[in-house]
Amino acid sequence: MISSFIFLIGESFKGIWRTRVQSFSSILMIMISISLLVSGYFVYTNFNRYSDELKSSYQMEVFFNSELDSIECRDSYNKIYSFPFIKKGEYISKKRAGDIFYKQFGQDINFVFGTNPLPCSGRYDMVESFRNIDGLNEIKEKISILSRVEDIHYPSEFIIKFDNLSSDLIAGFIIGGIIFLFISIFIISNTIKMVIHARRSQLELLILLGASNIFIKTPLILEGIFHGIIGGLFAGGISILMKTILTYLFYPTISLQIILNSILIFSCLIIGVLFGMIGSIIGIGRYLEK
Amino acid sequence: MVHFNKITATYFPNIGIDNFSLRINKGEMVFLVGPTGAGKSTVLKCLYGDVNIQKGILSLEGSDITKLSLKQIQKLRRKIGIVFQDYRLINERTVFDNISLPLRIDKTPSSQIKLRTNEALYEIGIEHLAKRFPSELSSGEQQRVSICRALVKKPVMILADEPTGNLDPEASIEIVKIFERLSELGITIVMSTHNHSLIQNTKHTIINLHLGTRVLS
Repeated sequence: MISSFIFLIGESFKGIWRTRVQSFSSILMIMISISLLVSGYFVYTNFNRYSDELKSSYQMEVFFNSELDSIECRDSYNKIYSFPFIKKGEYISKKRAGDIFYKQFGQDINFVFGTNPLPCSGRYDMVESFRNIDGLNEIKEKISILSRVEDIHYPSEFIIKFDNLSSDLIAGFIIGGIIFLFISIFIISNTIKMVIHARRSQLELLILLGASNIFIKTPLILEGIFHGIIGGLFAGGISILMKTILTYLFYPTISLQIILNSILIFSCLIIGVLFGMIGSIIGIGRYLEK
Repeated sequence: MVHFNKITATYFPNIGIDNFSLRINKGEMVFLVGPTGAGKSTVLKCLYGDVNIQKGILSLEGSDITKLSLKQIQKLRRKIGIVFQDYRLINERTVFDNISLPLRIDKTPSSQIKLRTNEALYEIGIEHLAKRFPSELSSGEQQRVSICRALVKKPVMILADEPTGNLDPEASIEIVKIFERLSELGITIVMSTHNHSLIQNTKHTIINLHLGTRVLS
């Protein structure tokens, strides 16, 4: 049994050499497919990073009734701050609001209006799961029922547009990724079919000599796996090179330090093995059916 | 040992065989003779399960070949040696590797593979060719390697489809002599040929075929 398996492994290596042109195209196809997948992953993760950074800057500003004194204002601020969906907050007193007015317009509000009409308020950052339009609307609903709350502001139009853009892009990535995956496997299985076609007389001989399906299929599947390993390793190398060059040129605008080189190589290897195996199983299936 | 009982096996575009009957005993040597398209190859293909039999019963050592599953056909082929007109050797492998291939298929242990391949090489008298590649051999030598590959699995029967078709008269006579020797060892031989001169003085059974049916021998 073990000697048989060793023989079949040897056969698959010899097979790669015998059909080196077809094997080369298969390896090349796997390498290109994985490299493109990794590039897609880099783009996706960087988009996500930017998206997270942007969303973390979402703030909700709650204005309290202007007739409240500073203690009542503080109480109201603290009450909202204690809600579980609030991550952090900043209390803005009437005086602080006046200072902000001065910074923005260069004039003392007491001098302009004779008094400070600005209400006290609170600026709140939300926990991650509420950093979207639905989450913010839900928070608004819960806060607006509080008696001392006068008004609530947040950039809802921008958030709606950005949320739509994000979900469109993510859907695009997923659909594009699935389509690309199918195309890759289709091309790889056809390349392996070419490998099988180049060796059809040998396979026919094996069939006539009484070889079992496992005996015929195993070296071809192993060959597909070896194509996948080689293609995956090359793709891993290309991805690391791509990552290094992009990081060198564009860091910190583009950050690709999201994944360790060893994990990148390992992932490419696993994807390569899967591509090669699935491609060869589909290719052989079609051949033996005939 | 083999009994064709009113077998009909036709396939497009070949005529195949129609209502064909034949009985072959163990160790017998049978020549199937007839022009191209007479059905000689179909008779052989029926025996190794490479053609769909529409009618009749074909028994080999008591079991009906027409009712075998794919796995059983694979097992049957491992018990039968097949020799082809075009040898069907793998050019990238040495003679030794070509001959030992059926033993690999049969999951024979490595120690046995070497022993039995050397035995077969010795039996056919080509042990000096073991390390050579098929492309380095003459047609006659290649056909002897092909016979050796059929012999190595100690078959109950060897089926030879026009084994002398590509050989000169001298090499053809050599091949027939080898088959006669194997027949004397108790192996059933069924060989097809359209070369009448090769078998004109033979003492073995001759089956004449014409358009898929057996004609008077």
